Amino acid sequence: MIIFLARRFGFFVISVLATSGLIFLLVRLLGGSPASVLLGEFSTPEDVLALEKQLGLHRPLLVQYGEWMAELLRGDFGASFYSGIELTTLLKSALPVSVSLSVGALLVGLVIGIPFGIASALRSFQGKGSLVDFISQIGIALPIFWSGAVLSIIFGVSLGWFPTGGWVPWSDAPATTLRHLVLPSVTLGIGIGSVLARFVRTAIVEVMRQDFVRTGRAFGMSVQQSLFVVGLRNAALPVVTVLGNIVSHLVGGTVLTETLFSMPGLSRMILGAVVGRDIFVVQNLVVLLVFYVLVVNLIVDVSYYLLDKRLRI
Amino acid sequence: MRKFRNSRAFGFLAAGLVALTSVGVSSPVQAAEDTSKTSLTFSMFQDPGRLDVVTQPATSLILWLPGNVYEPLVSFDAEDKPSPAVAKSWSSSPDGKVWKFKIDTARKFSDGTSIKASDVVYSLNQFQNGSILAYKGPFANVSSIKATKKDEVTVTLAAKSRGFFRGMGTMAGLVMPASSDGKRNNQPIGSGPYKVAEYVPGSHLQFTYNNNYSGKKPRITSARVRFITDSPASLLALKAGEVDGLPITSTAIWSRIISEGYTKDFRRTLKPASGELHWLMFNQTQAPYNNPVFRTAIAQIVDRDAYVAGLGAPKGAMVPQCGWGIMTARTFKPATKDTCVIDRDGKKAMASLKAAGLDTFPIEFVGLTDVPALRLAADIITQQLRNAGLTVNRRDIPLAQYSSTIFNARPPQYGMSLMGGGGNLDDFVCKDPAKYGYQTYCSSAYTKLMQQADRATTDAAYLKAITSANELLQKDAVVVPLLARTGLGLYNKKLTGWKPPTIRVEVALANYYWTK
Repeated sequence: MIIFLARRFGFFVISVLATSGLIFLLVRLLGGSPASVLLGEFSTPEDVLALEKQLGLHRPLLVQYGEWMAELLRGDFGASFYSGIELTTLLKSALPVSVSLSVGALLVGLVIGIPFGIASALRSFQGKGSLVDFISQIGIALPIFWSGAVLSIIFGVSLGWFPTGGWVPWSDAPATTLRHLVLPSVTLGIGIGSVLARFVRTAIVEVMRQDFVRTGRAFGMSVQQSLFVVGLRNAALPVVTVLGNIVSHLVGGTVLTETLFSMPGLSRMILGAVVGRDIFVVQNLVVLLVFYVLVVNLIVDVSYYLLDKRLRI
Repeated sequence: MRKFRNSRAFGFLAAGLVALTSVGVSSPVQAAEDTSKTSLTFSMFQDPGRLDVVTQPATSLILWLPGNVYEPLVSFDAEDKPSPAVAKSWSSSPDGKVWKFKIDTARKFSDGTSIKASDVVYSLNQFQNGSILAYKGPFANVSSIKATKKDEVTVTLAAKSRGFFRGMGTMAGLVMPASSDGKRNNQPIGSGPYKVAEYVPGSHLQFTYNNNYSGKKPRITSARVRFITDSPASLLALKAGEVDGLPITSTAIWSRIISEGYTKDFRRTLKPASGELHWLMFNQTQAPYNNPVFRTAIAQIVDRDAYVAGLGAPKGAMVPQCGWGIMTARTFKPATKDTCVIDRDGKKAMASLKAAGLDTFPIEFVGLTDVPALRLAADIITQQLRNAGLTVNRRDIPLAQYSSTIFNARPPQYGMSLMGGGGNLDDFVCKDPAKYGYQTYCSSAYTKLMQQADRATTDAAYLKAITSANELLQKDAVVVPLLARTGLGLYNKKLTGWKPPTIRVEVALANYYWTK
């Protein structure tokens, strides 16, 4: 176990260094100097030189990279070029929003995806799984901006059960925060649950066709018994992989959801920085995202190890 | 020295404000005040990103800070009469070149420190030396600003200027402590009725009552401005009762406001003073945009009526115009054959472009990616030019980039652009072409006319000079006005008290109150 974890952690550190180096180089090599990107296409060479000096971009790349990594390790993410506001200040308020939304959406996704997937798999043996399949297809096809607007109109405007948008920090009023989270989480979670349901169904159907399940059935186990005793555990591996991918790709969905529900989250911040060409903010946020994806992958790998005894041999 | 006494000299704005109250504000039904409600929530479709009024000219900022967090040196009422604000009294020399302001040092900033003459000098210097031309305008003739006593500031002018004193009641006259230098982006400090309690980028701006405020305590003691960038979502928030008003709505949702009956359920205000112009602007420093033949031809091609119709505004909220100025401006006249110096004539325009060998020149048009109203407007304009047979290469950039690279005194970076903004004739006063900022129009003849207006001793002379300046602006066609529009606000019917802005376009929260 310790060797496995050490090896995985070693890969994790190497991956972080390699990707951060790549991002650092890309920002500096693509499209000329970052100073000229910040100042715009028609900025004068004198302006660009002055800004390069101000930002320390005239120094050797290795020195710049070393300093940048040291800053990141110290938790110093710099400031926005345009607003001058420290990125750590922005992150402190944006990160809890995005994490809450992601966790909320995942919970909704799991609550929808696993029971629906299992039900669909069980029904497929009886030839009645097509309704669940149909519903999950609709769930996948629904665009976030549409489902979000419809949910807002029904549960926000007409029924008044939940706010149509905005955010209240957990520290202020947790119950209100939860109410603010419901509609965005459901909006984002519908798609996740629908994808998950299909994968759970496929995984279970595959497992239930395996010899060891058939043997169990021959010994008198019912479909339900064989599913819960051996099926679910074995079906979990591909589902965990998909779940890892979903978590890694959540950022894309949260951009739309955060915009639709006026949530001051990380995704909107990244989008704003990209659109505003706030290049060093983008650089630091992308590294944070890479770090997040690598952590998710590490967790998935460790989950594999725990779920699949064959890996421990 | 003589005490300042002048009511006629500033008739320009008085006339505008009178017109404003008669044009756009729907009068609410008189109802008893509900004193139990002391807070409100407004929605704004744009986050200013930073809160420094000296460097950030965005409407999303100047709506909220000038009338609430800051106080100007001198206040001007609806009749344009000056009254004490940070300056408790003032006087000017007989030749109008030396102004002395007695500072009310009993007033305090929201951080508890008293206002000093040095703070006023600091503040005026910030606007005078800043990059926003509209704020620099009142200082055009100012040669020195000094703290001559602990409570006295003396401003010396090179020439008499009617714009200087009036400017002290606008953005250029806002007073802030010298200690706020470098911190204003997220911690603005002023002496107004409110202070910024919290600014969460992307989320909201929270105002609370400033306990150090020297004036009467307002009825609204807590106000939140939520940044709802998705305009349809802001309408849903209003309908759900989560926000009490949208003081300014994006033109992108005006047609929806009308078609979905929002004007019946909510109180609508049309606000000419919060309105703006749309105009085309050419880069006067690049060929062929620096060629009057080319610019005049483009101005002839533009169909203002179709442009206004395409934007789908409520009746009276958008008016085509060829001149410069919002609807309350004295120079404002809707577009007609008589009021437009350059007539619309597409055939003549294409013929003159062909004769000059410019009919195939690819126009570089820069638009904005993240201002929905101007994006649609740019779609209409570029299509009109293409329909006329011209080649238009459109490149859209974000507002943040546009602001930082174009507004902040950087070299002009486009061939042609569509803009929206306040419409102040002073914006184009320029002494040194090398130093002008985003405004590419710099004409010595125009500047001379505006200086004549500034030094005019009679109202008639002033009006004559600004009318001539406006005609020259049209003739030169570096700036091609398209329309003037009002601001359109929607409010909960129980929230009342809206008053016309006096500093610029500000929403003064202290004026609002709830009714039963």
